[in-house]
Amino acid sequence: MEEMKDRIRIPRVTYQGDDRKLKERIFKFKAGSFRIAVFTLVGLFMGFYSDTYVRDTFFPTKLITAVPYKIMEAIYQSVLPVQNPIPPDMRGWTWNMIFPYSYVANLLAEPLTTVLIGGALYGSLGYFTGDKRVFTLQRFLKFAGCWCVVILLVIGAAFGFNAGAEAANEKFGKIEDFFFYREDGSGFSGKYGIPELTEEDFYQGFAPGDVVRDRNGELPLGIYFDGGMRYGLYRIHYEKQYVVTEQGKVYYISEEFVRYVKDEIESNSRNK
Amino acid sequence: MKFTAAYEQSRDAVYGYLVYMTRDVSLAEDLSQEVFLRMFLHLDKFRGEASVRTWALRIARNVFLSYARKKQPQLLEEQEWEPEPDVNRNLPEEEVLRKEEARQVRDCLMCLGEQERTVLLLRDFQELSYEEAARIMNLTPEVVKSRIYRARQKFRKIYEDSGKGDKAEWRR
Repeated sequence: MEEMKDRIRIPRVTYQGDDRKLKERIFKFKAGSFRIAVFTLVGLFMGFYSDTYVRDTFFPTKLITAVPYKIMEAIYQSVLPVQNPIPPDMRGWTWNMIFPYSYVANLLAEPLTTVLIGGALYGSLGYFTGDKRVFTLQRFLKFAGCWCVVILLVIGAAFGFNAGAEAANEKFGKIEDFFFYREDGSGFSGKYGIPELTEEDFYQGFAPGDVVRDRNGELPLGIYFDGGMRYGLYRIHYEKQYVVTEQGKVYYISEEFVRYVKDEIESNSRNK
Repeated sequence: MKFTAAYEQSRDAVYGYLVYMTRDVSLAEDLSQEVFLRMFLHLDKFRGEASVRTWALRIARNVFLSYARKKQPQLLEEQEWEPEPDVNRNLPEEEVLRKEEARQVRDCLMCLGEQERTVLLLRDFQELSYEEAARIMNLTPEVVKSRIYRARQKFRKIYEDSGKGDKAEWRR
């Protein structure tokens, strides 16, 4: 009221634009969104099966299939130099290519990161095939940014799980299986090689020790913990009855455990 | 709320705001389309705290600012007095006068800065309350009040200086 008379009179303007244009843009947006969703789903699928490129013999399809997996490898092994500290022939029956200690970390890294990379790549292809007036660069950057955040979170979680498993390996835990290595480098699973061997046999008399290590007499010993979700590689000396963690902590082990393993290794060697 | 209803309620307000902000009918149409598309995309986020028109004008202002910053920064600044060319020769007299009036207002508005133009359009053209205008401009109602006062004074001075205005005509 105070200023009605004071107002500037600005003439009315009526929208003269064509509503069909707007309808067309909305239709293109809906169609484009559907296409992006389909491309993303295909990408997730392609990412999931990306590691099958090794078995593909037809080069063009091999190349297309390999892209998400190779990007994942490049991220973990080149951009983030993850060095798998366990040589391939000492990973027992684990298939952990990227993170050796934790099954969950490797699951996040190898299949899940690859799946997400596949989704991001193919989803982006869907984006670029859309109407440029609707699917602008700014909108694409937001789309790509969201994928980057998700992938980075997964990568971070993978590192976290692996670090947790690495720390837990120093404290041992609930044993699922052993993987014994012979002097010639060959190995066998405890469950199949020495089925009578139990977790109690290992922990009986298990105590921190301060022996002078004899590195020449040590052999690798792989141990699976927590239902196979965690793997640790230790060094075991059957004569001096000790086991050494990766960080060099020494523990005594029971005579019974050593006897079981030695018997198996010796009888195995004689049968060879 | 359905998009069609939101569109119907805000169409002229959005377009009018953009016409006066850009002084370019076809650009205003393009930017309006972008505003309506954004409304369509974000309709689920509209919680009804403000009216649809206020919400749409807020989007329109963001679209305008984003466009002007990138493509035509001069739209954000006060411009020299420069009348638009007269293209209404073949129209009926009444229509010519109406268009002439709108053209003069557009010309004068362009001599104001973006903030002054916006506050004037929101209050005097869209007839929004101080609170609604403040919400759109991220200001307090008190600041809007003082800015509208200054903007009106400046507008009148520009209009008079352009040599075509009658002070009384610009009062309701």
